[in-house]
Amino acid sequence: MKNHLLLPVVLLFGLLLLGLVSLRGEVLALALPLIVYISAALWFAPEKVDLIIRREASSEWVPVGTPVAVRLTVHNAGDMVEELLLTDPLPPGLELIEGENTLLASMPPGGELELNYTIRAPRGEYAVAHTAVTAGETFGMFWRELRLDAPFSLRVRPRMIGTRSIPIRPPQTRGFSGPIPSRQGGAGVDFFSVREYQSGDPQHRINWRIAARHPYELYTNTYQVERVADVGLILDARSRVDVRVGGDSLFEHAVQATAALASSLLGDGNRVGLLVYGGMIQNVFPGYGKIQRERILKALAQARVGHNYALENLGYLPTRFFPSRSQIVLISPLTIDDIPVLVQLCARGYAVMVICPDPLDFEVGEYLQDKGGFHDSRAEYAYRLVRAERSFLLQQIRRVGVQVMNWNVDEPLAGAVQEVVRR
Amino acid sequence: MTRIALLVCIGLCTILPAVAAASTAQWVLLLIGLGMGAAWLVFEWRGSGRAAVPGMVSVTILSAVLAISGPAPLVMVLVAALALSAWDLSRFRQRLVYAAQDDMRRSVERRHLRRLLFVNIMGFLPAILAVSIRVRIDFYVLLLVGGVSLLAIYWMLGLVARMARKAD
Repeated sequence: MKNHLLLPVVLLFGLLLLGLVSLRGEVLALALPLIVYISAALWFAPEKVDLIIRREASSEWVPVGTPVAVRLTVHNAGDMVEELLLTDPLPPGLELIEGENTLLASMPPGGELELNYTIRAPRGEYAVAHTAVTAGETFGMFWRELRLDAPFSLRVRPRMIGTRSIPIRPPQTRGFSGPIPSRQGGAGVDFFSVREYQSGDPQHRINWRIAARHPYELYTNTYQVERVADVGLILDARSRVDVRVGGDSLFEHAVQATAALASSLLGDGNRVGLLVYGGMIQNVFPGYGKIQRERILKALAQARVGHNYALENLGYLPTRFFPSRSQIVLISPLTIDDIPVLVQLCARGYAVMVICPDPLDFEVGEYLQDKGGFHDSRAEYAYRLVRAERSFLLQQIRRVGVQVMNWNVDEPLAGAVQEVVRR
Repeated sequence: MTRIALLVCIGLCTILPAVAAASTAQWVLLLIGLGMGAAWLVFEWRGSGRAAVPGMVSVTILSAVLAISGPAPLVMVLVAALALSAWDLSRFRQRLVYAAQDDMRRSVERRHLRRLLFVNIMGFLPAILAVSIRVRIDFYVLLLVGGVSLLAIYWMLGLVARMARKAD
């Protein structure tokens, strides 16, 4: 506002001064349009700007790629505003796909204006606190800049991909029935062992074949009890293991896989916790059910790749966060330094499963798509060498008893999981 | 509509001083006027408002010089008013980009152009009187006018400061 008024005022007084110094009425006359212009701007400047703003959004918690419609309604409870410039700032990352987030209009007293637009956002959390409003007269001399409170937060969660039940076998299970064989005899479906008959055992459980060999004793079949388990999901968010090709990031695929695994494991009734290990450690304490699923998705919506010198390798994993002898599922592309940590986890009694989004296929896939194959033999040799190195790494990890799933992110996760199960 | 009005204003405030300068054989002023006007016109044609401030300042100074030395002071008042209008329209055009809906845009545009025309006429009419009526002012009256002008400057600067504080 200051700058716009300054120029005509300076010119006006410059002309007045020149007119007085030169004693020429013609020069003074040149100042008259300026005087009338500034006076008109001052006359029509709004005395009181009283705007009430209301914001509505179609949703504040959406999966990736879902368009969100935003409606901003402004009501004028003050004087006539000849020009109202409304700017609803979008946080970085949000993409405007329909409509406009700025508006220039005039507003009579009691009038109402609507600003409608549709946005789309990548995974993350976004917040808008204020809407910038500039209200004034039509010459733009006397404007008032206001910041009206219209808070809005948008959380974009990873898209859920349906996966079948993931067969896990942790050494220890919890007390409630579930789908996981618990290595304990009792009521179940699969045969577990035979024990001496105890009074009260149902007749159909008596093992008659063994009883036939022991004329004075009876034996009862026991079945493996199926229970739920504690599962700890660890998402590797270290920047050193992330691979970016074009606008795509391997970490995004890892996040999506984590969401799918959490959903599947919680759906089976397990107690699931999450740990995001990267620039900082972010955790969701273990829990059950749909609320826990929402908690995990919220944490995944916030998860970012980061660098922290203290967390450069997995050696500082806070393993106490997970109950002892539970199932740990690590979602990480892995590096050679991570092998000792996995060995240590197995030694502590955890059942460890690693889901490796394959960084090599991810990077080479793009290259092959562009070039249509390996035209350079050196590139092909390099690929084969790195592929061999990676196979060796995964083989080493498998050898210590870790279930490893090398996942080409272009293929569905469910297929890769079934591949591991078949092995 | 705004663009056409803007280009016409710049064109007129380039041609009129040039004609006035040519009629009094002030070739340097003619060249300066034509150069500045052409540059301003090119910038505005390309949609950039960068030349608006230097354009308005230079045309106003040129009109003041030609009003003193030239034969048609009233034409120079018209030139100053046109330069002011061109500067205003250039700024308005930058703001008009935000008017997304056509009906809103048309309404805001019409209101602005009507107001600008009215203000220009209201500024030009007293200027005709001021140029045609010649009054002899002695030194003391001049001092009084100077004092009033200083007070007006003081008041105007105070107003600007108050408005700025309010906006903050």
